[in-house]
Amino acid sequence: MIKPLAAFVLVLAIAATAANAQTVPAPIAAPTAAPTAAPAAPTPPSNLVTYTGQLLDYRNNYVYFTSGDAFPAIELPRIIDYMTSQPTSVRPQAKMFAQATFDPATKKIIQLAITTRRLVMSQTLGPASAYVVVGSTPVPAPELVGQNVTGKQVAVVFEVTVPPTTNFTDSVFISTDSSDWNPTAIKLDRVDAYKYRALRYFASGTKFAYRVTRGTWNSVERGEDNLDTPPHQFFVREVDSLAARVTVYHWSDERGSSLGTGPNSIPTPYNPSPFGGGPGGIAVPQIPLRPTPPPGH
Amino acid sequence: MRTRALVGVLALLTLWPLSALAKPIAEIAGGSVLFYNDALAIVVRNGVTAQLANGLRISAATAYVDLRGDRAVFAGNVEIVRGTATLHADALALDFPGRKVALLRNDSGISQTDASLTALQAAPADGSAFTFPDFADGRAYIRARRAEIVSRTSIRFRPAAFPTSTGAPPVPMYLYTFAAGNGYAATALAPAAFDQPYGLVSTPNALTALHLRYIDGVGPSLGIEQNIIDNNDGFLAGSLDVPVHAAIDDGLNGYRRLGEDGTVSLGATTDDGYHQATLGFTQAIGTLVSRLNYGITNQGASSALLSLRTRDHRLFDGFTWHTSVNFGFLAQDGGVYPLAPSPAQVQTVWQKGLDVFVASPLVAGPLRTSLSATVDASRTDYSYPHNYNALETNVTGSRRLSRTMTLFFGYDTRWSADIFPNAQTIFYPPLSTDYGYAGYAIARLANIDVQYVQGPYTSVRLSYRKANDFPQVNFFAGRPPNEVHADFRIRVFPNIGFSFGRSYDFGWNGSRWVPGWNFSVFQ
Repeated sequence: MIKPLAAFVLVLAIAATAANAQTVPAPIAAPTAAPTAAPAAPTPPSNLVTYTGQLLDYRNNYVYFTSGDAFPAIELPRIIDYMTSQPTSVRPQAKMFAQATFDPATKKIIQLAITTRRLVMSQTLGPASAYVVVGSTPVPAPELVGQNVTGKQVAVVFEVTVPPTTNFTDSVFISTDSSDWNPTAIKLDRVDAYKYRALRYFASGTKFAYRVTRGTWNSVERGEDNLDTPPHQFFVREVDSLAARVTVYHWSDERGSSLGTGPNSIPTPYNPSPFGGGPGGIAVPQIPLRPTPPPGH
Repeated sequence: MRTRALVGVLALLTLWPLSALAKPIAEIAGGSVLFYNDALAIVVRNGVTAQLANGLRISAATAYVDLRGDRAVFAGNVEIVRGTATLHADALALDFPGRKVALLRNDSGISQTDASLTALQAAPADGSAFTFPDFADGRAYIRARRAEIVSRTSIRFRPAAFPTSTGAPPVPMYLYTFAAGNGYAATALAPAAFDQPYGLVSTPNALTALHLRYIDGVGPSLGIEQNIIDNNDGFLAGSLDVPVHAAIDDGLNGYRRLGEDGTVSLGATTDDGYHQATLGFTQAIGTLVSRLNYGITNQGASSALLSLRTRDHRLFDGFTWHTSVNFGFLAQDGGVYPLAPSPAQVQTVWQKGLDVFVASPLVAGPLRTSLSATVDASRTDYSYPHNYNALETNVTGSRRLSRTMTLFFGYDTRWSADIFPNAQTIFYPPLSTDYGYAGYAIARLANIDVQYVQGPYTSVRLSYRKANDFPQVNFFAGRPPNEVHADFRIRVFPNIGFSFGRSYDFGWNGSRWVPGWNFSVFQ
C-alpha cells in the first residue's frame, strides 16, 4: 500500500515538475487541432473531448503527459494505433505521442490513440480541464523552472581563493547550515598557495547555505570591505557537476595587514607569551606585558 | 576580581533559558523516523501521526517533511482532523502554518482547503507539492521514533540512534539545529582538541548546548553555552567551561551589524585568574576599512588602536598591494616599560604605525612547480622614544606529483627590531647566557607537506616544520624547533567521517618530544 502510493505521488510530482518547462500562458485554443502535416487522426466518437500530447507515463489507470497534466482512465481503455485507428497490442510508453478521448459520464479516458510520430500537442487543456486530476503548475518554483529535478547525485566542487595573508599551515573549511554550522564540516584540500578545493556529492534539488572558515567561527571569511558577509546560497541543479567558487578577501581574525604583527607577536626572552587574539575574531591591540627577564639575567 | 565577577554575571545572564519558550510547530511520531541531514528532510515510515501547533492532527501510512521549506507530504490512508472536522485522502500536502492544505484522492483528484478544513474546493493544484523523494533508508543520519520540529530552526529526536555510525550510541534525545543564521555556531569557548556540542533546547533565536570537550594539557572538560541570535545580524554567546582538573573558564562573545557598513563586536574571557575584555568597531569608508579596537585586562593594562586599511590594489603583472596606518595608545598601571629608569612616569604610551603588504601572483616555476611570495614591512613609533620595525617574507610553492599526491613547501622569515634610541642596553641589557639577544630577532620557519587525496572523503597529509629562530624560545609560546604532523581523514560510513590528527613537537619545553592530537567527526 505504501510503496504504490509513494510511487504515485512521486510520479505526479515528476509530471508536474516536467510541466514547469512547458507551461506558458497562451490563448485558449481548441483542445485538439489536427496538424496539416501530421498523419490523419482516427475518428473519435462524435462530440467527445480529446487531448493530445506526449506521454510521460501510464500506470495505475492514470495517463501522464509531459505537459504536467494527468488524467484518470477506465480499467481497460481502448488502445488504438493513431495511424490506422485499429486496436494495437503496443503498450503506451513514455515519449510516445497520444490522443486521449474522454467519456463525459465517467470523466475518464476511454480511448488512447498512440503513435511514435510527433503530433501537434494541445497548447491548453481547454474542455479537457474538466477531466484533469493534476494540472500544470500555475506558479512554478523559480529554481525549478525548466528543470526536471530527480534527486540524482551531482558533483559539487568547492573552490576557495584565500587572501595572501593566509598562513601556509592553515586549513580551510566549508561550513553549511545543513551541517549545523559546524565550522569544520567540509575540509578543503590545498591546491596551491592561494586555492583550496573539495568535492562533495549532493542530490539535485538540494539547497544549502555555506561560509568559509579556517576551522573556528573566530576565523571566518569576510568581504572585500572587511565586514561579515551573509552566507552563500547554493542550489544543486539537475546537471552532472557544479562549481561553487568563493573568494575570501579577509579573515575575521586578521590584525593589521597580516595575521599577526607587533612588538609582542614574536616570543622573546623578555616576552615569552605574546598577547593572543580575543574571541569572536576581534583583533586585539597589542597590550604590553611585563617583560620577564630571561634566565640567567 | 571585579572583572571576573562582571564576566561571570554576563555569561550567566546569557544562560537564562530563553530556549524554554520554544514551541514545536509540529510533533511527528511513527514506526521509523529517518532524518537525512544532507537534504534536511525526514521520512516517516510504518505509520505516522502528527500533531501540529495549529491544532491539526494527521495520521497516515508514511510521511515526508521538508524541514527547510516547513512543509510535509503524508500518503496512504490519510486522515486529517481538527475539532469535529475530519477529511480523508490518499495523499496530503501542507505547509506547517496551515495556510494551504492540498488533498489528493484517487477518485476525485486534488482539492484544496486551509487549516480550518472547511471550504474544500477542487483545484488543479501544483503537483510538485506532492513530491515524495525516494531516499534510501541506509543513508539516514538519525533514526528515531519521534520528532519535534521548531520552524526553520531545529528538530529534536527521541530517542536518537545513528545507524551509519556504529561508534555512536543511541541517546534518549538529540537536538539538531539547521537555522539559516550561523550565529548558532558562534562560540566563546576556548579551542579544544575535541569539542562535541550536544544541543539541549533551542528557539528561532536561542540555543542552549552542552559541549563535551578534551583540552590538550588540561584533560576532559564540560562546557555549557548559550547563544542568542538575530538572524545573521547579530549574536551573543556566553559560555562556562568546567575542566575536570583545572579552574573554571568562562567567556562572552558578541557581534552586531550596524547598518550596511559597520559592525561592533565584544569579547570577554577569564582564564586562570587572567581576565580580559575587548570591544571592536569596524566601519567601511568608501574603499577604506577602519577598525577601532579597545582592550582591557585585570592586570592593569589597556590599549586602543584605530587602523585604516586600503583594499588590495593591483600593482603590475598580477602583483597586489595594500597598506594600513594605525594610531592608538598602550597603558599599564605601574608603567608600560618596567625596565625604564622611572617606569611609573610612563604609564601611557601613544603609538602610530605604517604597514605595507605586497603579494605576488601565482607563477609557474621549474619542474612543474607553482610559486608565490609575499612581503610585509611595518614600522611603529611610540611617544616614549622607541620604534619597532618588522619585515616578513614568505615563499610558498607546490608541485603536483601525481593525480592524487601533491607536494607543498614554504619558507617564512620574519625579522624585527625593537629599538630604544640611546637606551637599548637599558631595555635589552647584555645577557650572560647564550641568548645574546638585544632587541633584534629573526624567526624562520620551513615547511614541507605531502598531501594525498583519494576521492572526496579520504586524505592523508604529512607535514614537517623546522623552526630556526633567534632567540629560540623553547618554552611558553616559543616555537618547537621540529614538528611532525599527520592528519588522516576518512569516511567509513555513508554519512559519517572521522578526522584524526597526530603531532609531535621535538626538543621543546625540556622534553624530547611532546605528543598532541585532535579528533573530529564530519558528515
